This record gives sequence, structure tokens and C-alpha cells, in this order.
Amino acid sequence: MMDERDLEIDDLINDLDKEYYSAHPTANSSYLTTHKSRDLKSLVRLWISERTCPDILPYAHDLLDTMLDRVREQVEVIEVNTTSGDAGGGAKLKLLFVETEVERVKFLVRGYLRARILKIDKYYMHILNNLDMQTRLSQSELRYAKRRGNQLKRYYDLRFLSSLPPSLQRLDDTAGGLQMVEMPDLNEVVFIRVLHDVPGEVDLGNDDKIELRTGNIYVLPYKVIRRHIDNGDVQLV
Amino acid sequence: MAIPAKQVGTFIPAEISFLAENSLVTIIPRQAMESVGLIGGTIPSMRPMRRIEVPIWVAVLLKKQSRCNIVPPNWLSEENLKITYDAEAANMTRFSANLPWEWVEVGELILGSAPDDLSSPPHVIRNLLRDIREVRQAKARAGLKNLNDSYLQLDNVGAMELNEIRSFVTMAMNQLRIMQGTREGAERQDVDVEPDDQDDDDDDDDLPRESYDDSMLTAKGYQDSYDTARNSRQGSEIGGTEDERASINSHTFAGVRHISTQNRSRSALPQAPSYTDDDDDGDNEDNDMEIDAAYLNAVNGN
Amino acid sequence: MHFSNHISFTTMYGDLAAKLIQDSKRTQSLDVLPAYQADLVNSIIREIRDLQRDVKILLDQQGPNFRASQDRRVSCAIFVLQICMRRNKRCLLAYHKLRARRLETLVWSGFETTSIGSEGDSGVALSDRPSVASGWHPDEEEYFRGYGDVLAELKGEWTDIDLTGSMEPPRDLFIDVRVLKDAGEIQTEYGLITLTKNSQFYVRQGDVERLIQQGYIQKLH
Repeated sequence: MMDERDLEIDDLINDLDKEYYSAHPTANSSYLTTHKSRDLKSLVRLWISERTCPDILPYAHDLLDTMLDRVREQVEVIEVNTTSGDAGGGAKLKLLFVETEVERVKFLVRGYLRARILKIDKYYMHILNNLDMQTRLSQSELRYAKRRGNQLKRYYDLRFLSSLPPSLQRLDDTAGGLQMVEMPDLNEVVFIRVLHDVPGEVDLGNDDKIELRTGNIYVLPYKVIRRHIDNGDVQLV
Repeated sequence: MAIPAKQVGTFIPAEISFLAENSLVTIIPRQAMESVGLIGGTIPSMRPMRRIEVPIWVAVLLKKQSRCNIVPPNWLSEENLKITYDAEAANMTRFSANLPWEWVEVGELILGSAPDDLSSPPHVIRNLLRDIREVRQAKARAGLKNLNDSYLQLDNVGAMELNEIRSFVTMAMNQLRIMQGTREGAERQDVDVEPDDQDDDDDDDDLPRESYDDSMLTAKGYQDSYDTARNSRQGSEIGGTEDERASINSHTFAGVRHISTQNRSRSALPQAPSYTDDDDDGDNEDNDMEIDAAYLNAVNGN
Repeated sequence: MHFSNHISFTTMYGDLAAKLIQDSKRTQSLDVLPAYQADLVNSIIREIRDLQRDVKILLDQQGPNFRASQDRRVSCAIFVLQICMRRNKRCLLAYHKLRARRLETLVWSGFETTSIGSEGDSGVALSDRPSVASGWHPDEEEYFRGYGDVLAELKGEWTDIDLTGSMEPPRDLFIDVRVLKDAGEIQTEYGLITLTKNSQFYVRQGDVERLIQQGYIQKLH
């Protein structure tokens, strides 16, 4: 929802915020305008994107690290305050907000990771054969994909695969014109919203062309709009 | 599966609502409260009667404890909702731009948590919202009849409204696309019968990828294409996860499509590859009803 | 099953695989994982081997100078046999993939294979646990445990967010409850609460979930 102009204003306000806060450490800001709120927005976007995108997106190392650090900080705040005996009504109320929000953030991180695992499970063989895919995974995800792949292979082997003629024992052959390795279908349609006007037209590859104007909402194949998602012209919804 | 089937490829309404709770609303505090540092921002310190903006989830919590009043957004006033309803009813081919992206969820959240903060009786607002929702749903339904495999434009649709048609639109458009690919593939194969002729590396190849790993579903699809069209439709009635069903349907539909349209010219297809344009095919009404039923399921199922 | 070099008989092949697919279809609509079809699976494996043997016989009959392009009849027969084998393999794969996925879903939903969870007070859940092995093949139990270990390791790397926690958005962290029958004291993060009949509290939902299930207290709306 953030277009270029918003971004600039946000930056300006952020700078002002920082100046102001260094001079008035106890002052309040409006909820909107801190870098914190931008990080949370990014996490929400990431959660939506990973859930709706047919492909596996690059793992968001930095953001995840930041958010996890803050979750830990807040959990500490909760622990310190709850163990410090009878907190007053005001302190309890504060904790209610802190704790509620921690649960909300945990839910987002959990959903993000599990949306990725869903796809990793589905495309594990393609991932294990493809370096580009592997770079998009965290170390932990890649290790999971390998270990699960081994378990699954063992299950298939024990149950039937190793009993078949040698020519039929592979899990990744393409004989008979059938691709056995499942991979993301970039032709699947996605729902997108245009964040700011994009000059020119997008060629949908079948004589259809569309314009991208701020606020437009389209359903179209991921493949034709991917570039504009990556550069921030549009967002998955 | 790492994610429950009902959340694969779509969101449950509670999730859409959860997202809307992050958007900001103005509140009028009734009590003072110190500022609270959160992960995604800071709740400013509150003084009675001094308006501040906070995320809706914060406002709802404060309201529950009678610590604030929520200022309903302008679009949620009786007067504006009436204007919006008229605007919606006046143009049945597009959604009005009067409502924000999260209007359904925000409306429900405020009606649910702060009915006493509305400037009109809650039932009046509730009825207006329902009327607007219905007239917009009718538009969405009408619009879906023109689905094609290329793109669909849904300007001014709301987040919840979009999510309600998401599964159906995704499934239908992906199927149409696969059908298109199947027909093109079939035409190609008419010329070229060598079974191992595959242009695997062609990025533009629209042939559906029939994963070996998903072989059962595909195999079933093949079998169905030898059965009668009616039998093959049973694919849409079986249980299973959304993606499993979609996968089954795509192949059964592909089979039906292939049989019933092989002598039709391709030129009409990018525009309107709908199920209803074959006048001489007795099954059409059935197909149409099936779409309607699927759409209704998609909407009501949530 | 009778074997003949004649292609027409190959229509018999695949019937077993079709049965397996029927079972998969049924599995998709069931909440419980039905019994493993060991006999059917073994029959299909046998059928694939028979088909493979037929291919070999056919090829042997043609001698070393056989060229597929020169004898359309034989190459067509072999082609059909190959297709049958592959279709059978695909059905086997699909069936087992579906079962594996169901086993994984069970692991995700919290059926622990190792110790009964780290929460010490979850002893009650023990009796609720469905019999893990009903109708499963021993290899499936092994996969269930194996995947459980894989997931446990991943989960261990994400202790801050509880990876296998709820996929429903959090709501109402705290709720109003009324105590229906005396339940003694409970320890919450906010201190000790004495639950005497008809008293009302605003409590952390997680602290009283079990008491609600057991009917000691009731959620107020």
C-alpha cells in the first residue's frame, strides 16, 4: 500500500522522529511513522506473498532475524514484569498489549515459515536438483528438505520402489514424456494490486495487453507479472 | 501438510480479519495510559479526550475495557453508506470506489466491538452494509461468467470479497489455461505422434505439467477421459484438499473439453472460452450450473 | 492372470491399479487414514514384474537384430506394455505419496512419536490419542517416526514462535470466564487464582483452556 510518495514522506517523518526522540526520549510518536511499523508491514506483506505465490520466494533473512529479536525482547519484558510481583492495573494493561502483539507476530512468522514448508515439501526434488532454488532457502529449510527427502525415498523404496525393475526405480525420470519432478507452475494465476502507475503496457502473451494504474486489481498468470512484483510496482494480495 | 487444507491457496476469513486489525483507527481515550512499546510501533500515551490513532486490534482491546471510544471512519456513517449503496446499484458492471480495501472486515470489527460508538443505530448500519455486500456480490457473480484464461480485472474489490472468490477464480482460470494448453498440445500431437517428442526446454510451452509424482490424480484423469463426460464429473464431488480437487478437476475438465470441442475453431477462445458458447451441446446448462454452484460454495463455504 | 503376446489382453492390466486409485480417492474424503492396502500393492508390483518379463520375452523372440522402426507390430506391443508398467508405477507412487502426506499431517497436528510432549501436565491427552498403528504398515510407522524427527529438529530451531502452533489467527488472548464448579487454585502467569463456584475472572485463555474443556469453567461472551 506504500507508493513512492508515501515512502518519501515516511522517510522524512522517520528522520524527524529520530531527531525528536534523541532530544525527547520519553515523547510519543504516532503509531504509523516508525521504522518498527514498517518492519511489521513488511512481515505482513511477506506472509501474504508467500501464501499466495506459486513459487518459493527468497528467504527473508534480515527481516526474520529482526522480528525474532524483537519477539525475544518483548517476551523478556513480559517475564520481567510478571515475575516482579503484583503489577499494578496499568502495568497489567500494558502487558496485555505486549503479549497480544507478540502472539500476533508469532502467528505471522509461523504462517510464513509453514507456507514455505508446504511448498518445500511439494517441490523438494526440484529443490534438491536446482541450485537457484536452494539459494532461496535458509540453511535450516534446506537441511529439512534433504532429511525429509531421504525419509520419503526410504518409505517409497521399502514399500514398492526397490521391488520394481531397475529401469523403473528412479523418482526423477522423464521417460514416456512425463516430467516426474514436480516444480512450481509459474503460469498459475495470482491476485495483484498495482501500487503506482507503470508506464506502458504489460503483454500477456496472447494478444491481450493491460495497463498498470494505481489501485488496479488483476488476476493473471504469475509469470507475466513477476517482474513487477519483484520491483515493487505491484503487490500480491 | 504444513498448512491445513482449508488454508492452502486461500485464506480463512479470520485471517483476512486479522490483517484488517492492523490498520489504524482513531480513538478517543477515556482514561490516561502510558505509552506502550510494541514490536510494530508504539501506542502513544493516552490522555482522556485527546484523539490518537492506533491499530484496530488495540482499539478493540481498549474498548472492551471501556477505556476508549472508537471513532468510526467516515465511510461507515449512515449517510455515506446510503450514498455508496446508490452508487453500487447504479452501475452493475463495476465496484464503486467509495469503500476502503478492508471495508467488510473493518465494518464487522467496529459493529462488533463498538456498536455504541456509531452515530446511527447499529442495525441500520448493519443492514446497509449487508445490502451493499449483496449488490456487490451480484456483480462479482455476473463478472465471473466472463472468466477467461488470460486475466481478470477486479478494481475496487474488497479484501474479504476478493478472498471469497479466490479459490474459484484461481481454479477456473488455471483450468481454462490448462484446457487451452491441452488443446494446443493435442493439435501438435495430431501432427507428431512420436511419444517422446517433448520440447522440455521451451519456456513458453503451455502444456500442462503432469507431474509424475502426482500421478494418481493424473492417471485418474486419463481414465476419465475414456469414460463418459458425466462420469468424469464425479471428480468435482470427491473430498480431499483444495489442490487435490483442483488437480483432479483440471484433468477431468480437460478430458471433457477435449472431446466436446475438438472441431471448434480456436480463434474464439482467448476471448470467451466459456462453457456456454456451444449452442448445440446439451450439456451446457449443466456446466453453467456447475460453475454457479462452485461459486456459491466458494462464497458460502467461508 | 493369463499372459499372451496379443495386445488385446493388456486391457486387463491396470485394473488393480485402478482399485488402488479408488482407495486413494476414498482416503481423500476420510478423516482417518484407512488401512494400508498391502495385498493390492503387492499384486501391482507383481503385475509390473510380469509386464517386464513379457517385454523381455518379446525382445528375446526378436533376436539381437531387432529394430523397433522395422517391426511396428512388435514395437507397438512393447510400447503398450511399457505404458502399463509406468501407469502402475505412477499409481503406486500416488497412493504412497498421499499416505505419506497424511502421515505428515498427523505429525504436524501434534501426534508425538517420541515422548508425550514436553508440557508436563498433558497426561490427559494420552488416553485421547488414537491408536497410531491401526491398519498402518510397519514401514508407515517408521516414516511417521522418521518425519517426526525431521520436524522436531526444525521445530527446535524455531522455539520462539512455536512452529507447530495454531494456524488460526490469535484472538482473545484474555477472556471473561465464570467458574461452574470449585476447581481449587490455578497458577497463571499473573499469579494464583482461586476458582470458586460462580466467581468470574478475566484470564489468559491459554491458562484455562483445559478447565473449559473439562467443564469446570465457562467462557462468557
